[in-house]
Amino acid sequence: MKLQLSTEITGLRNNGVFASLLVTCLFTLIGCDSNPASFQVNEAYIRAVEYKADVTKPLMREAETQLSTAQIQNVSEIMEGLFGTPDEPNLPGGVGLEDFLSLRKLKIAAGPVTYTGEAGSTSGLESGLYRRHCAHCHGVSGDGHGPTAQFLNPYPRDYRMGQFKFKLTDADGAYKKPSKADFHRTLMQGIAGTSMPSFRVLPEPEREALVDYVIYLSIRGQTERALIEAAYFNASDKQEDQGNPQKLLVNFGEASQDQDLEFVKELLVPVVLPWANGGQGTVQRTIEEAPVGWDSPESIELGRKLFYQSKANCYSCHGRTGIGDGQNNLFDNWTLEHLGNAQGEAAGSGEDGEIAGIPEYFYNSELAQIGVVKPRNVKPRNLRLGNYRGGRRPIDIYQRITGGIEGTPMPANTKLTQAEAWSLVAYVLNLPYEPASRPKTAPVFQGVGSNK
Amino acid sequence: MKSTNRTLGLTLLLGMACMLGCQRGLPGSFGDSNEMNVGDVAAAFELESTAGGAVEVALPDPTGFANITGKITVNGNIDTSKFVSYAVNKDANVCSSEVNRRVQVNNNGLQWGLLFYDGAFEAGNDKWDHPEYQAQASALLDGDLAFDQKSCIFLSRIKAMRTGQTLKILNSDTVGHNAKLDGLTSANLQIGAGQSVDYKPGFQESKPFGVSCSAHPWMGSYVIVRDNSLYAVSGEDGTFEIRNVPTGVELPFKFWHEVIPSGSFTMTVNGEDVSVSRGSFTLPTLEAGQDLELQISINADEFNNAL
Repeated sequence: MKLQLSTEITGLRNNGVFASLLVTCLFTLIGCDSNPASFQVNEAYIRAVEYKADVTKPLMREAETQLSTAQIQNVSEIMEGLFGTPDEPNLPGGVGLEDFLSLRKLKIAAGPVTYTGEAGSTSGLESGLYRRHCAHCHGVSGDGHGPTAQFLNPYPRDYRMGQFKFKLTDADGAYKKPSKADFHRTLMQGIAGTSMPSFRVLPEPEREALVDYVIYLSIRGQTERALIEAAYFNASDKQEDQGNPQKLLVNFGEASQDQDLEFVKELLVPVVLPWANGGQGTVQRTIEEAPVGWDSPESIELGRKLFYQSKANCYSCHGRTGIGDGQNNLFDNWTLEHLGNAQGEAAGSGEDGEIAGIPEYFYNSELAQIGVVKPRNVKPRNLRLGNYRGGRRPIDIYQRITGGIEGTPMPANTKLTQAEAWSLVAYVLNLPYEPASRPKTAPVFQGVGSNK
Repeated sequence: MKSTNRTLGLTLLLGMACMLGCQRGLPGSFGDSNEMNVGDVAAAFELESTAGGAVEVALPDPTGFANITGKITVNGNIDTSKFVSYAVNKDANVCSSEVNRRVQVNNNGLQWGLLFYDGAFEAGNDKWDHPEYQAQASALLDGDLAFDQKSCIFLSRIKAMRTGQTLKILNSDTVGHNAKLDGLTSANLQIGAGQSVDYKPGFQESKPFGVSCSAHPWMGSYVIVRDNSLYAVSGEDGTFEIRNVPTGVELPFKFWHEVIPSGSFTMTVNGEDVSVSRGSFTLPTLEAGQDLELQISINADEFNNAL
């Protein structure tokens, strides 16, 4: 047997197959020795900035952006120096990020997936939590464009705009960044009516690491957007100035390098400030307890009246019957960014992206690759179904009414009295239980198929 | 032997395919970063450092203040056939479906043109920030300065304000509106009929941001927020005034109009060609006490091409 095997091996050697296999393996190793994971440049935003700056140049249709490869590479290098890579995240110092984000937690959430006890684990926790649980929908860069994203409705959130819908921090007329408690709640509850599941089964420290990492991705994304915008407006227009088409944000190795880096800091500070909130991170607002009798029939009736009055104006979008058919031709901010953002220009009518006014070039696989997905209308909630994405607790509905939903057409109402706002909560929560909302029961046929 | 060569050849092809297949560039990938450049940024923003970034750049001291007045005119005719009516689809008894005049020219004067200083500035420093402006730094913009809407049309097409000021947003209609402000300080505020809300932005913007009404999606306007008061929006006749401009320093400015927000074109300033690159141009350095008058002329085709 041994002799036979040896003969076979010798035969293989003789006909060169073994050598060929070795060569194949070598090529495979070289070819697949891919570079370490890197964050993709936000090319969709580059195009959005250029498109909005000059509508005579419909850049969404052109293969090349106005920013040159060297300018984009420059942005990419600045970003890597500030925030590291998906395997080795970093926090830039001097702007207060370390006061509310933990680099140790980021390193647990980042990186390739490893398991307890294996190399790369920290304090017995896994690393690669984000790639294991989140990246397939939200993308490695937090761009909301992971492999499964295009099949989901609604699309997963793109963190890079720094806007989030469901939080208890918004009050007094301006949106605020979500608090860590808001992110924890979303992770615990999931988002009803969407593909976002609950991650309640994860241990608390792992959820904490993921929350820090999502905030990190968001701040990173916002900084990148600020750099891209600055690069575009600082760079000379290569069509106008052929002699100097590659003006860079940071001129490495030049005398101006320190000054250029100071400019980068000036862009970074306003991104970090709203998240930092004096170093403690944003905190949820305090909502006083609902007054006694807030859900009484009288209060519900007051809520019903407010629903139709201009003071609350709910019917305008949610429709006269509350089924969400009042204003169906609007878009959220994430979609508007690619539509030109000119109000009225993008507003069309129709269903799920088959909308008048949306240019044909949006149905383009090249744009889909950089995260410009098929536009869909944002639809006001059908309030008779009892399905509330931001949570179904009365306090959640109260917050949606008085704080609004960032990134969407849902406004904050800062003019309602507390009692009025709670009456609206009572009315909204009662809508699914009104007789008109109940599904019709199947008719009962007397005598047919009956034993009686 | 022939078989061996074939096998070897096939294997080589397979190997090359592997190489090619596995080294495809991803969209948004721009090759390897220069590690030295990355290292320079990382070192400047080292986590342990309290400085963050490299050096604080000291601003030069202005020598005094000057005033700039002038007029923006349009050379040629605006193609008004390109204007379209507001697409009113609700509240038709209140909302006007008149033509949306995106470029408003009266006797050649351009209304709603924005000029703003785009250089470094030190708010609160008397040499940069004139005391008259400092006194208004936290003012409430009410009355004539408020931001109003009537017949489902924003009455200002562009509103300029300073960080720290509060903008009163009125609703002079008999239907409910909301003001969706997509700036760094973003907000979306419900405003009942005849009511008002306050908007207090916290950050300077590099360019105007959009204001819209979700209930009436054809409504649109813009607001810009600056850390200084060196801006002007041209009036009905195209005239403007920027007082108390620091002198003895460089004066990078931006021109903005909603139809050519960051355009690159040539305009004439006092008869001389001035190149505007992505909205930017530079005014000559002024002397203390100077009164500079600017006659700015823009070719109508710049607007017509973008309409």
